[in-house]
Amino acid sequence: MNKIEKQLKKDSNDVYLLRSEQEAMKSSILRNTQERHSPVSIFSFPNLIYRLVPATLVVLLAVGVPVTYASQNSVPGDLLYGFEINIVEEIEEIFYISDNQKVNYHIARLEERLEELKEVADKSDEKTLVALVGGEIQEHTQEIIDVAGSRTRSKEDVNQLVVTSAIINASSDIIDIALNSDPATSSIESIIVLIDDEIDKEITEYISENKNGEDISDQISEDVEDINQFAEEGHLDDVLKIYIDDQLKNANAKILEEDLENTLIILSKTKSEILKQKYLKD
Amino acid sequence: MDRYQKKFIAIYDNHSDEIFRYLYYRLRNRDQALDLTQEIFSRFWVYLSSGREIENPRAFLYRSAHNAFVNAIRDKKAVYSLDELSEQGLEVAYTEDDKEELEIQKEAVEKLKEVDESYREVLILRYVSGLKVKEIAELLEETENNISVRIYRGLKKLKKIYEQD
Repeated sequence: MNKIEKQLKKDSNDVYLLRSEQEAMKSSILRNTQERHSPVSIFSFPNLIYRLVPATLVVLLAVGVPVTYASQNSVPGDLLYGFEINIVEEIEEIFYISDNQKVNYHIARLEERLEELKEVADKSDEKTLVALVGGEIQEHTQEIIDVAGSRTRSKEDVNQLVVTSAIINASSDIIDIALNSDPATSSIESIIVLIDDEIDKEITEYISENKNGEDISDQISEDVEDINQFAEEGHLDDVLKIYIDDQLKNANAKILEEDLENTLIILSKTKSEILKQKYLKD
Repeated sequence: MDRYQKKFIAIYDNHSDEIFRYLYYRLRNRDQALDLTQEIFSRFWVYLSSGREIENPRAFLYRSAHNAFVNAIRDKKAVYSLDELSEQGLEVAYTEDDKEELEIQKEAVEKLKEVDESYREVLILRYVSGLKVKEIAELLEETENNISVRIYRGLKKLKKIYEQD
C-alpha cells in the first residue's frame, strides 16, 4: 500500500458517527418503528389487537389480492387502470434494486403503455386517456434517461438508451398524437433529441474514462456482432441492408481515423435503426 | 428484546459507522449523510423484523446506501438541517469537543472533493469503506478490470492533488 492509500485510510478513520449520534439514531429507529408496528400504544385494550389483526387480514385477502390481480390485466378506461399504473407498478418498482433492473422495468412499462395507447388512440371519445398514457410514456422515458445519466458510465447505459430510442422512434406517430393531447407534455421531437443527446453523452464519457483500455475495442466488436445478429434475425428489406452496409463502412473509416467516439455513435445509431424496424414489424 | 431486535442492534453497532462514513464522503454534507443513514437502517430494521433473511447484511447495507445516494443526487434533495433531523426524531446535543471533532471530519472528507466523481466513488469504496475490488464491481455492476483501472487512475489524480497541497 503506497503513501496516498495509507493517508486516505488514516483520514477516513477520523470520520464516524459521534457516540451520542449513534445512540440517538438507534433509539429513534427502534422507537419510530415500534410506534408504527405496535397498535398497543394506540389502543389501550390489548384484546382489540386480536380482533383488529384478523380483520385486517380478512380485508387484505378479500379485497387486496383480487384487486391487485385484476388490475394487472386492466387497460386504459378500466376502473382499475389508475390503480395499476399508480399503485401496483410503483410498488413493483421497489423490488427492482439495481439501476439496471429499474431501467429495464421502465422499458417494459414503456412498451406496455405503447400497446395500451394503440388500443385507445383511434377512439375520438378517449382523448383524456390518450393524454394520460402519453404523459406516462414521457415519464418512463425521462426515468430511463435520468438513471442512465446519474449512474456510473457503462456500456449497459448505452444499450438501454438505444433500445428506448428504437421503441420511441418506431411508435413516434402514435406518441405524437398522445403528447399533443396534453399541453403539459413535451413534443415527440424533443423527446427523441433528448434520448439521442444522452446516448452521445454516455458514449463520450465512456470513451473518456476508458482511453487506454481494451474495453472500447471489445465494445466495438460487440456492437458489430449485435448488428450482424439483429440483421440475421430481422429479415431486413433492401433499403435497410444498404443503410447498414453504409454505416459499417463509415464506422470502419472512423476506426482507421482512430475516432472511437464517432465509431461507437455510428454503431449505436445503426443498432437503434435495426431495432426500430424490428419493432415496426412486430 | 426479541431475537430480531438483538440481531438488528448487533448489525447496527457493527456497520452504522461505516455506512455513515461512506455517505458523508460521497455527499460531503454531514446532515444529509446522517439523515440517509437513519433512513437506510430504518428500512433495514423493517425488513429484518418482518422475518426475512439477509445473507450478507454488509453488502445489503452498501447497496441500500449506494441507491440512496443515487436517488438523493437525482432528486437534488440537498437542503438538510439539524432542525429537520430533529423533527424526524433524531435529537443530539453537541458539546464543544464534538464541534472540534466535526471540523476534523469535514477536513478529511473535503480532501477528496477535487477528484472526479467517477474516481472518487471507487476510491471511497476501496480505501474508506475497505471493500475488495470484487465487491465494488458487484455493487456498481461493472467488471473488476474497470474498477481496478478507475482506482489506479483515481490514485494518480489524488497524488497530484496531495502534491499540489
